[in-house]
Amino acid sequence: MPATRLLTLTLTAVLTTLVCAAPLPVLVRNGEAHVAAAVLEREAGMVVKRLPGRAEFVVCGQERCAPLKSVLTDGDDWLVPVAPLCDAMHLTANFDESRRHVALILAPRESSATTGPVRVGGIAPNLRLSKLGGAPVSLDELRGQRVLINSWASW
Amino acid sequence: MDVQGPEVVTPWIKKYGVTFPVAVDTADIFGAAFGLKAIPVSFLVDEVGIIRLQGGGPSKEFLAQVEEILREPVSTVRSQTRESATAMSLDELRAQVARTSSDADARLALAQALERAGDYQAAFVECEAAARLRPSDATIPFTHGLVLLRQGKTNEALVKLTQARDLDAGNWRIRKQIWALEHPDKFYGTNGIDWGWQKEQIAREKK
Repeated sequence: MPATRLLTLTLTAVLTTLVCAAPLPVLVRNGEAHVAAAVLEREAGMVVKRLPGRAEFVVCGQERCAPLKSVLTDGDDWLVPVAPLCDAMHLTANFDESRRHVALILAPRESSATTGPVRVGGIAPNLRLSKLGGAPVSLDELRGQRVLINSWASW
Repeated sequence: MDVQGPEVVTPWIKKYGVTFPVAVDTADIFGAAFGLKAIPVSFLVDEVGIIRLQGGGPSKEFLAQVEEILREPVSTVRSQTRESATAMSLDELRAQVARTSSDADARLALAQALERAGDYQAAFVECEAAARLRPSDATIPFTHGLVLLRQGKTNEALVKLTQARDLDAGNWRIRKQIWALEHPDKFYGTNGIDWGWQKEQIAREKK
């Protein structure tokens, strides 16, 4: 039924967003498709970070952070397996015919940046406090810098 | 974390020559947003906005992990602001409560903001409203107790803090706040904090 098919295609086009316009080069390791972390950051705006002392990785975009397993080391870079990456970030992988390139497609959903518990490996909630002397300070205005928060009391 | 206000914090800053910015969290805004059960606690938030580390005090091990992160190349990705109600302005919070007067979180956040602005009477009213909406939440009587403390109403504050402690028995921040009020000599005496007493007190209350 061509009419139904056309409708489905149109809907798909409306409901999905490409994370990165250019397909990313695929590197096969242990029979599995991987993408380099540096490429993922540059082309798709997703960053892979290791959690010190835990030997765990997280992958984060603008709105979402999720744990990532089985990241491989490749010289100075990391190789991220495509299938777990898609699970973690709610993406669909579209490989080209030769499977040398992959486009990552994001299904839109409600922003998850404002939900979920505060945890290591997650996005920090914003805070607005007053410094000694009264000047305001917020965590958000420090974005782009590494911030060490130490909470202490006189008791 | 000092609901007693900047006056109890300043001597410590002088004593240790603290040079980093210090925010005095009289309304427990940080504690509530990060769900703290005990202090000291440290977090490292990286340039992206990811919480990369959590530790207690600045131990050698923790600082080594901080160094590890500082050596990384700086990413260009920035996460979007994850707004917690605690970061909204007083006007925004008032508008939110006007829209959804049965939202306990909104009323608690408004109470905290009012406390920060020094409007203790209005903060008191919001705490009472929040407690009616969600009587099982320890954060509400805790904040309520802090508001009363700021007004100098120690005995009434103790009643609220005790309610909070009973609702969240494993929360040592609430317990310590109560100790500091009931035994000021163990905290603010001429010899400073009596750590030996605190150890015994922890052992007593763990039973």
